[in-house]
Amino acid sequence: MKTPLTSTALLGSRRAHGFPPASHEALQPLWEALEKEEKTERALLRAAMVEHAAWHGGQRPLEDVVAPDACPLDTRPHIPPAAVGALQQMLTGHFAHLLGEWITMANRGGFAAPPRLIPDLLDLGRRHSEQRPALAQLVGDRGQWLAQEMKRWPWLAAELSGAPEPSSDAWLTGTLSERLKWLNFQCAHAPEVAARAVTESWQGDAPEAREHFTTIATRHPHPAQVDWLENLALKERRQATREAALRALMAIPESHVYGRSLERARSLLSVHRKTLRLSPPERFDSSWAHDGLQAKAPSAKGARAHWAQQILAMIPLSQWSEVTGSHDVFHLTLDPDWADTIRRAWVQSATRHHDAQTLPSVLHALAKDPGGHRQTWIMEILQTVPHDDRADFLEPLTLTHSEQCALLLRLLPPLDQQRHPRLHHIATHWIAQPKAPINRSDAVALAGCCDPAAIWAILDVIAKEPALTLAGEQFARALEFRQSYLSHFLT
Amino acid sequence: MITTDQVTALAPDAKSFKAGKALATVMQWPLLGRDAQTLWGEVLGSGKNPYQTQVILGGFATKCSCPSRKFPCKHALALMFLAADDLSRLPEAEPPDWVKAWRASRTERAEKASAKKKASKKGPKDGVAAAKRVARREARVEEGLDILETYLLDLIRDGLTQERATDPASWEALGKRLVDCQAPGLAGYVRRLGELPHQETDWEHRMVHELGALHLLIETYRKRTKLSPDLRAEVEQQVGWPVDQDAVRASAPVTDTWFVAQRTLREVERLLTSSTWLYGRETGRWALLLNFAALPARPMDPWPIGSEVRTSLTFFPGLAPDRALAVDAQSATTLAASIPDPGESIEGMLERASRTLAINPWRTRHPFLLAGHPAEHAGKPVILDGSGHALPWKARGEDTTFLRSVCGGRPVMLAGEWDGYHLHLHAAADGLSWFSLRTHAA
Repeated sequence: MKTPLTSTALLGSRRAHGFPPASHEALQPLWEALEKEEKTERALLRAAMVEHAAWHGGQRPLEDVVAPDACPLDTRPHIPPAAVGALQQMLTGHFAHLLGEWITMANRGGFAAPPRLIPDLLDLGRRHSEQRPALAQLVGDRGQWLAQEMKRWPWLAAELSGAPEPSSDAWLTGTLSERLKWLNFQCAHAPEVAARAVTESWQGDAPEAREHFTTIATRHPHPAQVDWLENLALKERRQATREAALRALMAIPESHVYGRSLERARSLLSVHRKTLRLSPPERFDSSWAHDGLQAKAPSAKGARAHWAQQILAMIPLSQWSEVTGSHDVFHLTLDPDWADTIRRAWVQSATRHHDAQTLPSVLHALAKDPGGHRQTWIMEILQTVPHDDRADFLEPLTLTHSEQCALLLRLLPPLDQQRHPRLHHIATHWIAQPKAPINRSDAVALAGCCDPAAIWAILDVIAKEPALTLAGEQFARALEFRQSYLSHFLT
Repeated sequence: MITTDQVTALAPDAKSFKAGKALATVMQWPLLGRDAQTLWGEVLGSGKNPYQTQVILGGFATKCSCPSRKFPCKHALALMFLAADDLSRLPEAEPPDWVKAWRASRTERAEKASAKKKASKKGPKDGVAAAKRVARREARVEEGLDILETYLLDLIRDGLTQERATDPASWEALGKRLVDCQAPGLAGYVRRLGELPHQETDWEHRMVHELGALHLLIETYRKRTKLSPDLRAEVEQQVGWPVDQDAVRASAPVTDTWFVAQRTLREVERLLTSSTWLYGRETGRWALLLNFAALPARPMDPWPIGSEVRTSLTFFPGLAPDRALAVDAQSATTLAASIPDPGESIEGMLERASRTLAINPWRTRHPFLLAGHPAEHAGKPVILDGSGHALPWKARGEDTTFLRSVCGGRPVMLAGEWDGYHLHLHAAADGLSWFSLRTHAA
C-alpha cells in the first residue's frame, strides 16, 4: 500500500511539491490544520502518526476468502500424549529402530495418528516403503486429505486400494495421487478400463508415474493387463518398472510371458536319480529379450549361468514341482556343477514372487548349503517377508550362532519367547558376556526384537549384572523406552 | 507439573540435552524420590560414589554433586526428564539429609538476602545525591531526544530513499548514541526501524508510520510533567526509564486462573528474552511475562505451555498495560482441563486491537486466542475464522503443511500475536493437547 504521504516521504519534503493530500476523506479536516503548520517536516511526521492510527485502528478482515475442503472426521480415539511423546522422539532419531513397533501398536489399538505428526509420518513413508501399508492405516483419512491438498506424498494414493470411487476425470486431469487412486480403484473393479487408460496415456507419462502404474498392476493381476505389461512396461528403461511388470505377468497364467517362461525352464531342468540336473542354454535366443531377459552377464559371472539363473528365477517357486515333475524338488540333491546357480535362482524368485507356502522348504534347502552365502541369501528372502512372520521362518533353521545373531540384527523380527525360544535366547543372553561382539546400535536393534511380555524379566536380570558394557546399558535403555510407550498403549 | 518441552528448554546445549535424555532411565538411578517441593535421586556416574542430584520444583533450581560446570548438568536434566515422562517413577518419600541440608541453606540464604535488601532500603538515603542523579539522567535523555528529533526531521526533509534510512548501520549508530544518552527504549525502537527495509516488502509505508509514532513519543515525553500518571509512566517506559519492580509488586494484584497460551524466545546480542502470554479465564485479560537470560544460560520458565495456574499478577503502570509480574512464581500449575475459548472472532480481535490503540497508540502486538484454520488468498497464506473472515498470516517454512494437518480444514484454537499487518502464530490445539509451534518449526 502506498499513500500520497509515503510518496512525499520517499521523495523528501524538500523536493516534493506541497503537502500531500489526505489518504482518506475522514482525515481531511486534520490535514487542513496540519498543512497550515509552520514547519513542514514536523507537520508531515504528525500526519504520519494520524495515518498510522487510522490505518491500524481501522483494519478490516479479508472477506472473500475461499475455505479449503474439510477432511472427513476421524472417529478413532486420540493416542495418549505420553505415547505421542515417544513417537516424536523416534521421529527425531532417538531409538528410530522401534518406530515399526510403535506404529503397529497404534494401529492395533485403533488409534488416530496425532494430526501434528502426520506430515512427519508421511515423510517417513517416502523413505521406508516397507512401512507404507501400516502408515497409510495410521494417518487415515486426514493423511489422504493432506496429501491431496498439498499435492505431495503420491505413495499414499498408490497404497490405498479400498478407497471409494474417485471422480471419472481424475485420470485425465488429476494430480499423480488422484490418478493413482483412480487406477487402483479401476484395477480392482474394472480391469479393462484400467488397462485401456494406461495404454493410452503411457507415452506421455513420466517414468515415476509408469513405475507406480506397474506396481499397482502387481496388486491386481488380471488378464486384461497383459498387453500393456508385456509391450510397454517390460520394455521400460527403469529397472524397477521392468521388475514390477515381470512380477505382475508371472502372476497371470494367461500371459505369454508366463507360458514361455515355464516352457524355457522346463527345457533346462531334469531329475535323475534324486538329483536335480540343470543344462544351461548354449546360446542366448534373441527372442528372450522380449521377456525381459538380459544377454550380457555381469563381469564376474559366466554367461550361461547368468542366462540359466534369469530363466529359473522368472518362475514362482510354487511352479517348481510342476516344471520338474518332482514333489519334493527342494529336497533333491543339486547338480554339483550348477548348485549355486539353482540356489541363486531360488533366492531371486522367492524375493520376487513372495510365496509363503514353499518358503520353509526353500529356506531349509538354502540353510543346508555349506558355502558361505547362506546367511546373505536367507536375509535377502526374509527381508521381503512381513516383519511379523520373519521369526517363524527363521526359528527352525539350522544355522550357526553368529549367523542367527547377524540375521536377527538385519531382519529385526518381533519375537515371542514361547514360539521362538532359540532366537529369544540369542537376543538376550549376550548381556552376561563382556566380550560379546555387539555394539550399541546392535543392542538397540536386539532390544526391539525382545518379547514385550519378557521385558520386565530381562530388566530384572540386567539389574543383577555387576558390570554392564556400554552396549548392555544401551540395551537396557532401549528396553525401558519400549516398556514406557507400550505401557501407555495398554492403559 | 513438569513437561518434556519445559525440560528441553532448560538444556544449556544440545550435548547436555542428549546426555540428559540418555541418562533418563530408571536403571541408572539406584535412588529416586520426591516430595511436594523437590525431586531427588542418586545417579551412577564415573565417580566412585553415585552423584546426588536434586531439583527444586517451581523455580527449577538444581544442585548436583558432579563436577560439571554446565548448569543445569546432565544429571539434573535426566532427573527432570524422568519426572516429566512418568512422575510415578519417583516415589513420594521423606527427603534424605542431603536434600534437607540444601533446602535449609537455600532458605537461610534467601533470608539473608532479603534482610540485606531491607537494610539497604531502610538505611539513610542520600536524597540530594539521588535527585542529582535523576536530574543528570533527565538532561541526558533530553539530549537524546533532540538528536533523534533532528534525525527524523532530516529524514523527512531529504527523503527515505537515502542511505541513512535504508542502511541498518546508520540506525545502529543512532541507537548507540541513544544508549549513551540513557534512553535504551528509544535505541531499541530505532534498531527495529533499521531492520525494516530488509525484512518487509512494504517497508516504506511502515517506516513512515513508525516515524510518526516515534515523533509522537518525543513530543509527548517532553510534556510529561503535565500528563496523567498512566500516560507519563507509559512514555517514560517507552523511552527507557527503568521501572521500580518493587512498586509494581506492591500494586493491586489481579487474581485469576491463567492459561499459559503461548511463549516465544528471541535472541538479541546473546540476551535471550522469553515472552509468555497468559490469558485470564475469568477476567478475559491478557498478561505478558518477560524472562531474561544471557547465553549460555536459559531463561527459566516455571509454567509450561498449555497449563493453567491459579495465581495473582501485578501489572506494570502505563496505558492499557499488559506486562505483568507474578506475585508468586512458584505457584503450582495443572494441565488445563480444557482450552479456553474466549469466543473471539477475527473481527472481534481487530475491534479489541482498535480499542487498545485508542488508549495506547504505541502498542504494536496484540495477543489473541481464536478458532481459525489456514487458507489462501491471492496466493498468500491467511488464517480464516468460522465466520468467513481472514487475515494475512506470516507462515514460515513448513508451517502451512503442518497447520493444515492439525486443522484438517476446520477451525481449531490458535494463539498468536497480531502486529497490524500479519498474524504470527505461536501455539495451537491438537486433539486434546496444546502445544507450541516453535518446538515444531525447529
